[in-house]
Order: sequence, then C-alpha cells, then structure tokens
Amino acid sequence: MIGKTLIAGLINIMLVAAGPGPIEKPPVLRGAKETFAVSPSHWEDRLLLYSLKHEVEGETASYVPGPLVSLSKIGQAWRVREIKPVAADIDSGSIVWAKGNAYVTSSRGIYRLRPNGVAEKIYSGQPRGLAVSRDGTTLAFWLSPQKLDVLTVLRISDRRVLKRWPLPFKVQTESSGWQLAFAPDGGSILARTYDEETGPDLKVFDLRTGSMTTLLRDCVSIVQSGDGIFVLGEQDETRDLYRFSGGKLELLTHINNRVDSLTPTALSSVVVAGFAFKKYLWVYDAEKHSAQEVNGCTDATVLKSGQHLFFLDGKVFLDPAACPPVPPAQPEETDR
Amino acid sequence: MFDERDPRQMAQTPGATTQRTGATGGPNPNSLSAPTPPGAPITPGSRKVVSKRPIGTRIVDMTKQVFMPSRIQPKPDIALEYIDAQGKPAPHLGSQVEREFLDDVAAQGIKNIRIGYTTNGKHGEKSNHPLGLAADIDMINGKLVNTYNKDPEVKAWVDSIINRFNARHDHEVFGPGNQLYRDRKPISNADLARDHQGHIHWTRRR
Repeated sequence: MIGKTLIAGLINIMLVAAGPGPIEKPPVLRGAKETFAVSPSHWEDRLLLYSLKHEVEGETASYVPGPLVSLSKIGQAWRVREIKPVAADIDSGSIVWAKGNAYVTSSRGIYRLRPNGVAEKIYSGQPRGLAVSRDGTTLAFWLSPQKLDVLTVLRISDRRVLKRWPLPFKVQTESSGWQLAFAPDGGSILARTYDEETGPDLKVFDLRTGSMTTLLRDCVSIVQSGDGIFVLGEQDETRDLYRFSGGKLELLTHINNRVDSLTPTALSSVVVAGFAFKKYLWVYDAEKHSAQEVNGCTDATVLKSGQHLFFLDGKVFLDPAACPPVPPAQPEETDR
Repeated sequence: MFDERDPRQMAQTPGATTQRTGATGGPNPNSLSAPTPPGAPITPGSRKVVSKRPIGTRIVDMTKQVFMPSRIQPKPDIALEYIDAQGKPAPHLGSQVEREFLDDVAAQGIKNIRIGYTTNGKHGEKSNHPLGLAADIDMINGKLVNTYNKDPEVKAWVDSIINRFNARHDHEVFGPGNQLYRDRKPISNADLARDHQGHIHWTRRR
C-alpha cells in the first residue's frame, strides 16, 4: 500500500513538473471602475495610479475624485493597496517619480510618497500637472487662479517658489490636460499651454532667463517615460510622435490612427499612445522602431522588468489578448 | 488599423453638404471651402440646414411647443454654421444629432448659430466631443458668446438657450456666467466654469 502511494505521488510530481507553470494572475483593483494617471517607477516593479469607483463620462467626469493606488510586483505576486488620504480627479491627478520617491498631486495639494508608502503633504493648493527635476530637488506644476494659468516652480527642500509664469487662458474649447516635463539638464521646463487661441502649444520655459519659446504648435500630449521625453503633436488628421533630445524635437514616426494621450512606462524607449474612446492603444518602442497595436483596452504601461499591463474599466490585464474584443461600429441611428 | 471615421462618431466630413444647400434650393454660395472668418456674422438664409417641410405642415414657433417626438416636428428655421475659432471648417454633427441640436437650440430670437467645435479641437479626457455627441456654440446671431458679460443681448440669448437645453433634458449644458448643468442638475466647479466663459457646451440628452 505504501509502495503504491509512493509511486502515485511520484507520478503526480512528474506530471506537474512536465506541465505549464502556474498562470500568473493580474492584480485586482477592488471596486475600481476606471483608472487614470498611470505611472510606473523607474527603479522597481511598482506602479501608482488613481482609480475611480464610479462609472462616469462626459466633461464633468473629470471632477470625480478617486483614491491613489499602489501596485507592487514581488516575484509572481501582486500587492495592491490604497494610499490614504490621497485622492484626485482626472484634471488634478498627476504622478511623477524621482530618486525612489513619488510625488503626486491631489485635489488638495502635492504629496511626497516615501518608499514605505507614507504620504507627506508638501504643498497646499490646487495644482494641475506635475513634473520633477531629475535630481529630485524641484517641482513644476500649474495653478489656475481665475482667468490665468500660472506655471509654478517650487524648490522641495524649503518649499520656496522659485519662478512663476502667468499666462492667459485663450483657447476656445476646454482645457485638455496639464502635462509638463523638465528638460534632462534641469534648466528648462516643457509644458503644454493654453495662451494661444490656436490651441495647446508646447512651450519651453527657461529657468535661468525666464524666457518662453514655442517648440510645437498643436501639442496633444507630453510625457516623461523612463528618462525619455515623448511628445505627441497633431498635423491635420494624423499624429506625430516626437522625442525631445538635445533641446530639439526629433520626429520618431507618424501615427495614422487617432490617438490623444500618452502614458509613461518605466523604460526610456517605450511609450504608450492611446485613444480611450476607441479602446485603441499603440505601444511604441523607439529603439526598435516598432509598435504593438492593442484593441480593447484603454490604457497600458510597461514596468521596469518589462512586464506589460493593460487597463480597461478598472480591470488590469497582463496579456493584451485578455482585452475584450471591440464590438463592430454601429451605424448611425435614424431616430432618437 | 481601423478606420478612424467610425460611423458611430456621427461626424461628417466638412464639405459633405448635399443636404446643406440654401433655403431657396440653389447651391450654397458660402461653401465650406471658403469659411466665414471668425467674428463675421452669418448671412441669414445662406447656410440654412432647413429641409423641405412635408406638404401641409405649417410653420410653428418651436419655442412655444410642448415637446413631441422629433420625427413629426418641422425643423426650426435656424442658420447653422460650422467654423472654428481659427476660421477653419469644423466637422458637422451627424444628421440625427444635428437635428436634435436644432430642435433643442430653437429658443426665442435665435436665428443664427455658429458651432466651433464638435469632434475637432482638444477636450477633456472623458469629453463627449470625440463621439460626435457634443457641440460648442461660440456665436449667436452674429455675436460672440464671450461678450456675455458685456452685451445684454448676448446674455439674453445665452440664458435663453441654456434654459431651453435644460428644458429639453440635455445631458451636459455648460455656459458663461457659471451656468453648469448635468442632466438639468446645477453643478459647481471652478475649472469647468472657467473653461466655458466663451462658449455654450451641449451634449445631447441620454
């Protein structure tokens, strides 16, 4: 009897060893209906994002706050936790990383997140957009008192405001994001502005001279991905993807599909362009000059280890094939 | 790759004006290839999107009508123009959405409407604009909406349109004077109010 049991056990072990390994399960964001401001760490397999627990749409949806969530991958396991009391809406929620710390904007101010996850408020106000210098000493963000947008530069150590650029708000449509990034040398800031009627421009703000110059008309998005800075521009019906390098924009490629956002990854050469309404993603690798198209998810990123993550309606997928198929387009309805 | 011009977006290519001839039935003298410059008034009658009414239908004042299914109402006599702030043609709303818009915007005294943005322009992440379900009005009867605080006539037109949009149960109605409504419920948001000082945002009812 003992011999039979031993043999059966050995056979079982051999069968398990010969089969495929355990399937890795994606992290679960409890109660989440939507995610935004996805931002991976450059140093570890960790990700911060905001989640919304209500199904929302339309322009007012920008102003529904949701909690900050941390996702960490340790081995094959995921750890997910909400970081209280930080919450933000789409317009005010931004997350950036520098030297192991993360800085996040919420509806109430700017917080620094220590590696242990403790949130420390370092600025009170209603900032929009956020960038941190590579040395981790300086923050840049927008404030919008009344009819002005004020690009504000803050030294973190003593919370002193070093520079302000007040600009009028002149676009005829709504604001569409407040992305900005420090140039690699830390001497200037690249930011989308609304001070021209022709639409958001990408401007360079020189921290030494205070000068402001236009780098690109019709800038759709700018994001820092790893150490790379990527810019999405609009040219008629197409989009152009640029990389900021040596003080200039280097055209990487044209994107024929409509995309209207960029999401950072942990890798300096990889960025995600997307169009959430069409559930269309375009994961571009600037080193390989190759792109992966993904249909069915609204956002994606890549962790430091190369692990891809895809997002849809508050759910996270590890495999693009898990993104639900997009139903065929419906013809225009003929009556109300 | 898929076709960007998904019919569900319900936006038509500017210039596809087969139904947008003048009210007299002749060709539209102001084709969209020669857009009206920003600020210029719309010539009454030149851009009407009025189609021939069914025989026997009489002209009625839309502002005094109780809501009825749109299929049996005549189109209101309003000149509609699609030109953005830079003077470029803006994509048209789909015909059904446009019809709803015309029904909804037909407040007292409204003769000309200029829509600056539908699926064009840049909007918030969750905006209904990319779906072709929203429109931004930046000019009424030849006057810019951003003169709301200076011109009593513009203020009256804007308030009248916003009231009518709400009466028609439209989904999102934002305009100057901190008038922000979602499904007829007033909301308060400084950012949204600031973004809508110069235009009326309309999203069709759900």
